[in-house]
Amino acid sequence: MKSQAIAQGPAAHAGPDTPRARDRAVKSATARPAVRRRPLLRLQQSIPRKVYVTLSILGFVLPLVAWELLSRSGLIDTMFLPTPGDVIEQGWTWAHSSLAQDTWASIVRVVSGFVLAACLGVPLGVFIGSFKAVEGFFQPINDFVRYMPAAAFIPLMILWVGIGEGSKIAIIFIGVFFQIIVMVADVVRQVPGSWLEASYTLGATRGEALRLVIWRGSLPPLINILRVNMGWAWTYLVVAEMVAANKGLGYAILQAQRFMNTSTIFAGILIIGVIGLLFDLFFRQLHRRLFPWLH
Amino acid sequence: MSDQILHIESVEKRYPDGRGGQQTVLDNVSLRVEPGEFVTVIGASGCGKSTLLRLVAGLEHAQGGVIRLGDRVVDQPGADRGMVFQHYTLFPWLTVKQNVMFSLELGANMRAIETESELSGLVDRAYALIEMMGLEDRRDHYPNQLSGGMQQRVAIARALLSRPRVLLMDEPFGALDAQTREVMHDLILQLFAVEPTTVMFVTHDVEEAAYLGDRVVVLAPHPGRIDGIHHMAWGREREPALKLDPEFTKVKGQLTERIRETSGMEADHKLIERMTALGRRMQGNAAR
Repeated sequence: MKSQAIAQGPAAHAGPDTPRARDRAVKSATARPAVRRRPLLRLQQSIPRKVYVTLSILGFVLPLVAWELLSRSGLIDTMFLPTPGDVIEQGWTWAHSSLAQDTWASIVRVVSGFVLAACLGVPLGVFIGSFKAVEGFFQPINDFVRYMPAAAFIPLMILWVGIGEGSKIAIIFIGVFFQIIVMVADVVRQVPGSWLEASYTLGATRGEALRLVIWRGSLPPLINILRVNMGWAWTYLVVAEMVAANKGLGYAILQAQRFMNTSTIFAGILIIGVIGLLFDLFFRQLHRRLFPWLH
Repeated sequence: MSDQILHIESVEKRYPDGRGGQQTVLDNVSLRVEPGEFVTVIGASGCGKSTLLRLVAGLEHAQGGVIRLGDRVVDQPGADRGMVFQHYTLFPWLTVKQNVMFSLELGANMRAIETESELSGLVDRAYALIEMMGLEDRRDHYPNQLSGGMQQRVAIARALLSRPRVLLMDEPFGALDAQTREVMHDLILQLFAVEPTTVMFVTHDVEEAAYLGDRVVVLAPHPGRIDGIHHMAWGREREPALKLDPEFTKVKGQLTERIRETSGMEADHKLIERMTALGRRMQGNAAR
């Protein structure tokens, strides 16, 4: 048993054809049909890439087919469930009128609220995660405010900021700001103390340790936090555009409801989904670019 | 040279024991490490050997006594005392080269550099250290692309770059497999032959302590105190064959014996005897 293990050790590095040889050895040792079957549902085990991609596509196509069949079956009135064709058609019409304007207005609102929340929330989260004194001061009040629903602030925001762009951006800001703080503080706390100690023994000051170790070390999860919160910012958009808007995707959806225009509601929701997906891809790409050692 | 002696004088360290009282971890520990000396510290777990090293590093503070490096009292971490930790502490976002040169990003080290040639000298030194550690073809790799042994070699190079007066090593090979550890022993012996450095090395491996150290300090636990200091009779030039030498084996046995006697492992032996007796009785019951 022991001699076998020793013989296998160096062989694994010996040449290009050894893995195949090893494979053969494994096969001959356990040549039973039970091994050839590859169950797809083993806990946390990877599956072939082809199967994975197929499943991903099916995950999109099947609901679409189900939708098409259901809307054509006549079981549900098309006034409530339009066919995919109707939605595309409606989207096309919209594209030729105000879609670009609505989309742009919404993107500006979401990005403004999100960037503002990130610019204030990230540094605050970093300090809360780094210094217990700052944590003691901000964390309890933040945990309290965090549970207040952003939508409930709408009346207050209208009184304070008026019905212009400000109140819409404020709602999105309120929706993500407090979440960003908590999540950032959490990843900062998870930076290993041993990294800090290593930097101190190399001569780092407290400020340098904060900048070169804590900040650099928590950047990768921080980008993921921003990605997740960008998604949430989009979900607050429709709420924000309930406030006396005259353009925007959320506004268009609310308007369509008034006229029983379900196709537009569907189109609006799908467009928000697609834009959200694009932002998500942007953050994923950013992650790849900035942190090559993780990919 | 006297400005480089490491003096540990009557150091006392206590921790809160969680019941409102205090537990003494180190009691009146004194040690003097000469420049260029390689001192290893061993002892059973709980003897405070890592705490002692962390006190010298300035990562923890003693309640009593004083630690001096030359004429300066140690009260905080600094680049004059480099440290290599048991756990991998390389920065994962920096390449091997960037990790080794990390101290060049720090103000404390850069202010000490006065001329351009001094700086380029340090950069050259970084490359030389990487080469000495056999990592010249891994310079641009990230830590997660390296084996555990390689990572510790990078950590050693990083700690040595700015020529610390003392290098503190806290079970640096504790997480490595036995074969890699053996290789690392000879590698650092060679390294310190080329690059004379004062080293304080903590380990729980008796063979490692005897093979590397000029002197071996045995700490006894509860509370942590120095049990004895043993001079290793063999010179600096050591080869793996030494580990099989009867004299070496004898010393190793003596050191092991001291650790066993001081650490209350007698109690463990009694426990094993009791378990054996109990096992026999249970077997007897089963047979019946």
